[in-house]
Amino acid sequence: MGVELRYEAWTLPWKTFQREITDIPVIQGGGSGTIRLNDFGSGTIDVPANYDRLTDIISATKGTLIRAYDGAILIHEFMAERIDFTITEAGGVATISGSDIASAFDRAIIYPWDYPANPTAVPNWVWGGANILQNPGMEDALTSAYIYDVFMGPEKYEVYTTATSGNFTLTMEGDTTAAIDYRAAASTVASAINATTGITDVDVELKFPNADLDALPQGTSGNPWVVEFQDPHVLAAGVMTGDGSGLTGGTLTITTILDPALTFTLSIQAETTASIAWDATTTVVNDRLEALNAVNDVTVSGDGSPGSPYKVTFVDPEVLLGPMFGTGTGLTVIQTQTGSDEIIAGWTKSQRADQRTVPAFHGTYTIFRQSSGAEPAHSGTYSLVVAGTQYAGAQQVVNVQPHGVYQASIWVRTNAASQTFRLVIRSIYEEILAVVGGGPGPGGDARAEVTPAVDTWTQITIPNVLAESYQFGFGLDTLVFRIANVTPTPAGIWYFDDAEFNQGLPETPPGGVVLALMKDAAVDHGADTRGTLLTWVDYSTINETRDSSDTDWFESISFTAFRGATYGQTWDRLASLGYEWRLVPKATPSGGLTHDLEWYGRAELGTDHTAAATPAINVGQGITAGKVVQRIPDRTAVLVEGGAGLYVEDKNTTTETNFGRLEKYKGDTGINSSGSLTDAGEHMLNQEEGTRTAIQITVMATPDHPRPLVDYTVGDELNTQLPPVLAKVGKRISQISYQNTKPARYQITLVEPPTPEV
Amino acid sequence: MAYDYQITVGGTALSTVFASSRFLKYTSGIRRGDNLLIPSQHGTYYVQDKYFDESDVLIEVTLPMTTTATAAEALSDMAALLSDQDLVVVSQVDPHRGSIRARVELVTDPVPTQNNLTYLFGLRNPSGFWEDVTASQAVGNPPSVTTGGDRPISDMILTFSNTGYLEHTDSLGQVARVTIDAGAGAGTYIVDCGARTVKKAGADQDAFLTVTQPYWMKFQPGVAQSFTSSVSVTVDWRDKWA
Repeated sequence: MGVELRYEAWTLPWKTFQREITDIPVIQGGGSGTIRLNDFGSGTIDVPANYDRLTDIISATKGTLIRAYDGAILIHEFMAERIDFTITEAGGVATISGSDIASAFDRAIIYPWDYPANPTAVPNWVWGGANILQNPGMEDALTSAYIYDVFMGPEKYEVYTTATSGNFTLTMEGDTTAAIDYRAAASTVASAINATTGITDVDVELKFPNADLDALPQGTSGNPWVVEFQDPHVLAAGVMTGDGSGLTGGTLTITTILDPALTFTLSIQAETTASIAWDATTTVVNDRLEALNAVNDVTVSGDGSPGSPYKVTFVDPEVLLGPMFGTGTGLTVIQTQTGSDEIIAGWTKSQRADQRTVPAFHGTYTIFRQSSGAEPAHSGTYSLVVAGTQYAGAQQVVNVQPHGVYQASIWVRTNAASQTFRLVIRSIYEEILAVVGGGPGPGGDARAEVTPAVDTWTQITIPNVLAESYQFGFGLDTLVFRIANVTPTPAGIWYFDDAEFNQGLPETPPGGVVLALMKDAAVDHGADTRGTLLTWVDYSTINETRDSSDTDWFESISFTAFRGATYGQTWDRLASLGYEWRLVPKATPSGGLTHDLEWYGRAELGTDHTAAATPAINVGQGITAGKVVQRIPDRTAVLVEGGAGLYVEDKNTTTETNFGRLEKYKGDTGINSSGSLTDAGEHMLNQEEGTRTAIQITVMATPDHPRPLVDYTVGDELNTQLPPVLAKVGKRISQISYQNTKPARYQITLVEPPTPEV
Repeated sequence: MAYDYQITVGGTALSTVFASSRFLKYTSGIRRGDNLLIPSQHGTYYVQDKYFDESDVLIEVTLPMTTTATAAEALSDMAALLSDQDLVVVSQVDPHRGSIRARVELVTDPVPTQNNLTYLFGLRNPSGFWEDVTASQAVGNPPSVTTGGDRPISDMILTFSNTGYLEHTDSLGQVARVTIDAGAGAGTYIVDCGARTVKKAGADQDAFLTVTQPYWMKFQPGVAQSFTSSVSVTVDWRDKWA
């Protein structure tokens, strides 16, 4: 093969695509071009200004494709977009330049998804769009915890004398008061008791404090002193006693109103704690309750006295399936706050959404609440728990894009056999909806049923729900997402979780995106004003299952193609997720197809020559100059944000440890899943790592050695060695620039090969 | 009687064309690169092992004096001998260097001199060196090579009997290893350090070659070479001369 390049001129691929000029007289050294990985390149040729066929190349009536050859091998194609004349006395040079053929994708725009609808109601192409349901995972509920006050006592007595004079004493906790007058005021009695060592606080009131003391004198049987111990609130050493020997004309009577036990127990849901002392610490009360199987976590405050009762707050479970009660003389257990879990954010019992008529629930309910946390949940901590009659269920009313398409699904589970659940999407007037391609419902409408096995999470799906009336076809802006038990005689408890009402089409592998967009341009609108374009591009190696190397796509992606963007810009965004593409000329065009559009998973584009005998890049084989550049990372951590504020963080642990945290941000509102955002973040870090060591070499074409663009091309991986600077290692070619000097000169840029998906 | 250099051009003895001929100027190529100027030091720092540029070769011929036509024919014959599209091999027997050759290209028309029967032809020797007509060879694991000449040799042909390496340490302490990677598979591999090719049964094996120096391998002249190897290698070389 020769070591000089030659150039031909062809008509455009979307026109007649035939050779017009066999050999353009390009000035030696005046032809150059660049071919880039996952991007457009460019080309330029200098020809004599007096070349008599210049008007065939830059014409007022047709376009021209310039094709550069190395011998018989086509190495580059670019469009003749402009011509610059350099005017000199000798006649001058005409420079013809343009972008390479792949830039045709920058001359095609993404049309609205619902084109030719005018105005467009669904402009963008959305795959795996955002879930528009509120609280789809049932994790958010307005709950209030069950809170109880628990205390013993207070220990209480009534004391009176029948004496006419004299005094008495009272003894409690081993201490005796000073003498108390037989008709002392209540406060005097209290002071006497409080003065004893073992008592800190006692309340003494007359039984009838407002009575006429002449009629009901204090300290008499008609108006006794009521002694209520506050601190301590239980006399641990026994009951209060008295000595009335100092009384005259009567006796001292002490009546026990409440002698609390010294211990108590608490019971929840058929379990009872171990014995708890009346003055137990909060730790002991806490431990006793948490020792129960039904209780995972409580908080306890207070000292158990009437003035500062044990305040027991149930943390886990938040909801008790039955009240707590206690056993023990003098024990008081008061529920001060009722737990509530019936207000599930965003969800209501199934009912007519159109409240103009009599509002009515569908079915009746015995249970409608958030799960306890110990009950089944498909993901996260909670699910929605429902039980009731036929048609009982849950629903959510959502605002939607008229004529938009949505993917509906929900997970259901039950502990009873033969329960049939129906997912249905309706308008608020209970109209059934259209489904693209016909839905699973009996009329092809938006409803689907499932009868799960017992205790088995089962998903119900309705794909491609259209926000338009099934009967009349007009667009709807509000829909009802409803799940219900339609069994004639329902049984058991039903759990619902992880509902999805995702905007747009389902997630799809990149091939599905490319296929749909190419088909939209090349096939779908022949009868519309737009007609068809890009019909010369063969994309038959791309589909939803496999890439152009016949390898399964690694995953499906969430992606939005924005109308008005070019296909080239859209390809760039797909490439930012790590996917790779190229446009290559067919060896034998046929049927109007002249070029192959190829898409690949990460690291799949190009040929890996490292295990083959040749080619390779070895020092001395035509390499005349070069440099190896090594630099520190531009970024070690990334924040990638998608639609609706969803974001993903990622970092390169090794470079972050070595260089610190160097942050970079990327935003793409067209990505609505964590998986695809993770792909974008990984690609940012991989790309950075791949270019930290970059090699750029100048290679002259020699007859004995591997030839750039003939034996290897952009995207290929070759063993590369440039001793002593670079020992032999596999490198990937990211760009090749060429010039038609004699011999031809190439500038090759090599980077680290990317890591394939695993 | 003048020394007979037995010059041939393109295989033709010039004695059959001209009355006499000699290489008037056969300077070797000049060295490329400068010595280093070190501040605060006299002179310069000598840089060893510089590369050489291409060299010029002037050949002086004396036309045969029998007839005018014969003289003109001799010039034409010489032009024809040097008209090859590619390089032309010229050889001579030098009293010091022995039988040596060079590949040259013609760069000037014949230049007349004061003697109207004597002409000069300007030739360019791209390699910069003369080399022995007869190649030398050594085989072994490692081979035993002692070079002659007075210029470095970097166009040796290494024939590997199998995958493995040949490592050379030159008299300046520079180490160069040429390896045929194990993944290449059994076979005979020919590494042409001059053409910078590596082949097996005529097929390129560039990906299976590993070198550690940009010059692949280089022998200094007039010394026994030092090798280690893991496989038997045949070394074919020609001593180089200024």
